[in-house]
Amino acid sequence: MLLLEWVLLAELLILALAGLLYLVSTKPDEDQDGEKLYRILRIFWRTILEKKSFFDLQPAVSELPDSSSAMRPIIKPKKESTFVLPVLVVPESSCDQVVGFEEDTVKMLVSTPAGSGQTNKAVIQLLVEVLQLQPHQVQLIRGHYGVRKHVQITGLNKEGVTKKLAAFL
Amino acid sequence: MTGDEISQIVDTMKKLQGPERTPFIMLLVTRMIRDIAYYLILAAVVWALGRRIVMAILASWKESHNAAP
Repeated sequence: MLLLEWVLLAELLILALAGLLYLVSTKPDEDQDGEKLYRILRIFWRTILEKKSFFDLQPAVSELPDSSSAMRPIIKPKKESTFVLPVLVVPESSCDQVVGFEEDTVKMLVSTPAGSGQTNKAVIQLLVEVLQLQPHQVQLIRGHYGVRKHVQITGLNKEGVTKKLAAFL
Repeated sequence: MTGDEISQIVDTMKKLQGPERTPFIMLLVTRMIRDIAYYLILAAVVWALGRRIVMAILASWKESHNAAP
């Protein structure tokens, strides 16, 4: 067998193993390790099944060069500008509020308990209020189970988000 | 197609004259095209799947380390 065929076989085995472990870990279990495995595998499968372009050629509009310059971008930009905002969440706080920046990351306090499944909703709700956006314009794209999250803001660029957050603080 | 098969076909062709070689040449060319297409598709699938798997493993490892207490 060719090396490529062995590699493909190994990849299929990894997928089969991950699928089997995911099915096993979905069983209700109070064991801490079982829950951790379930989280890891959920992130694994979410990343595998994520809809992405094959070569990831579509950058955010804020990363594209100025369209007025002679070197126009080949890739057609999206109609609405988007910006990915890194967020550091401190769960189980006394109130819900944005407290400031830490190296381009927005630090937020939320009152919901960690791991309750309500933290992500609270983060989105708080950002909607602070940035004065519609809920559909704020989307959590990474860090569903962690304290470090990445939130995609549609309709605002980096400057707009920074300005609104600075005005709120 | 393995090296042995190719050398066997080439040996057979050496024993033949002009027009009799045509089917063997056709066989070699069609098999070559088939094999190249197979390896190209295999490489693309392995690369795409492998890249996704590596990205997923890295993402799950990173997020599990940043998990809320």
